[in-house]
Amino acid sequence: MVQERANDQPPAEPPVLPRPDLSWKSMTIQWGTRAKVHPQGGLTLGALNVGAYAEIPDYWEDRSRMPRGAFSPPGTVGAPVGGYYLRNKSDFWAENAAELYEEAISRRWSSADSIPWAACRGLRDDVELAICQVATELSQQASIEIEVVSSWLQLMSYGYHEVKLFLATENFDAGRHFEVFRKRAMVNGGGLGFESPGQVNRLLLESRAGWTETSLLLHLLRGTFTRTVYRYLAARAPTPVELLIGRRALQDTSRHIAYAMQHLKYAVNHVTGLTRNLNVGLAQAEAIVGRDDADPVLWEALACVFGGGVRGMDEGMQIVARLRCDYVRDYLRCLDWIGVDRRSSLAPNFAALLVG
Amino acid sequence: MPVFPSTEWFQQVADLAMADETYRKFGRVDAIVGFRVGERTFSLVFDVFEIRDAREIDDDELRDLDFYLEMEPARWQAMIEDIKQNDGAGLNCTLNTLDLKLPNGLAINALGDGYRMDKFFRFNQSLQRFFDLSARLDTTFALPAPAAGD
Repeated sequence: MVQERANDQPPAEPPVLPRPDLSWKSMTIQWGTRAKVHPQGGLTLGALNVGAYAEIPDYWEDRSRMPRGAFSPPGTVGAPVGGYYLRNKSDFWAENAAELYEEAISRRWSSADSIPWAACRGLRDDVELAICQVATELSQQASIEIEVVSSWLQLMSYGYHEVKLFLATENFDAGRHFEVFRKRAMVNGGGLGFESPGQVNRLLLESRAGWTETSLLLHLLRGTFTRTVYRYLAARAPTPVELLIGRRALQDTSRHIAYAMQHLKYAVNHVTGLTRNLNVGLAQAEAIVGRDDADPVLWEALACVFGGGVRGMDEGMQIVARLRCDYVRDYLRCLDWIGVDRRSSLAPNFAALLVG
Repeated sequence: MPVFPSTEWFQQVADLAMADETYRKFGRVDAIVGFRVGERTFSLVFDVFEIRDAREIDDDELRDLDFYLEMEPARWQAMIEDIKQNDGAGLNCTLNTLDLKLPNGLAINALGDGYRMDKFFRFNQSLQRFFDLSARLDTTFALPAPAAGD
């Protein structure tokens, strides 16, 4: 019936459509700008910074989500959506962010199938318990890293997308570290141990002076410590499982530290008086590290792992002492590179580790 | 049979790595790396998945490297023999273990540039795989004199 009625009607006039505006067609900064594809490396994020698109301003005016190089709708001024308080390039920029992003994507790994889990069976109970304790603390450190980076990421403006993308990979890396160490604690039935005293964790979570200051604490104060533990696990692990976890986590953490070094050097060179502020902040932070360090649980667990059990803990403690000395050396080496001299005013607890 | 150390030896290992699925799975690498064996130094450019420009370099070119791995000749030989014997480095001969054993570490930047030196850590798994692949060669050794101070 419906069809019959329709056939009785005269054919409808086609609707009159508004004339296409097409003004958007001229809205491009530099028509014909092509990013080059590297014969080996493909089309990388860094390769998109070409021609006018390579201009990265010192200050990002816009407080919307507008990508760098795009336009706001005509008649509007980038509708602010709130947040994005970090708009100075010196707040979080690093020249190597795009390169590190590609590196992170290319060198990703999965703990589910990249680790030969069956190879860590059969450890003595004391070593297994010690590994579980170490894994508990490293897992917790990784979860803190996720929360710290996430809380700052949303404040960073879209004008410097390279850094936002890289820090997104850091969150994925930290997520992987959280779960790989949790898996290690669980795989042989040992389970999780004590959480850390948490003074440094709290310092990181409550750092509000700026992303630069937070990155200094997260990546250089804490990050170089975590990296040193990974180095020792990669060299002295009781089984191939911890060795491989240490080696791969070492690579990830070194990328995070590489970002921080470049960012901090850039910030120190562009913000007057920053070096002094960083020095003051580190003096306080080193003292807070000392409070966590007074807790013996992690040191004893590491000594048990490196010494091959409780009976080898004397030898293990000597290795732990070297680890802690190497940590302070690495920390100072990174600070030297960014132009912050802590050697002349190092906190007593750090200085004591250097002399053994 | 390839002789260690020589440009040919490093080139042959580089060829093995470029054709190795596991090496590629570890991801892209970007580093100019030296290998100092006694008084002789060889360099390689790791460019994404390509490894090129194997050559012997002079001491004044050390500054162009991101880092170089330095050990006394006998320790190099022990590492390569261990890799051959175990089809991959045993726990006492991994790059990380050696790095912690040596007083000044294994990886060095000639100018003390900590950022460039850290590439040793960033690409650690790939470098280990590179050396592990030398197990497929029947290496002979013609070790140079130890460097001054070794």
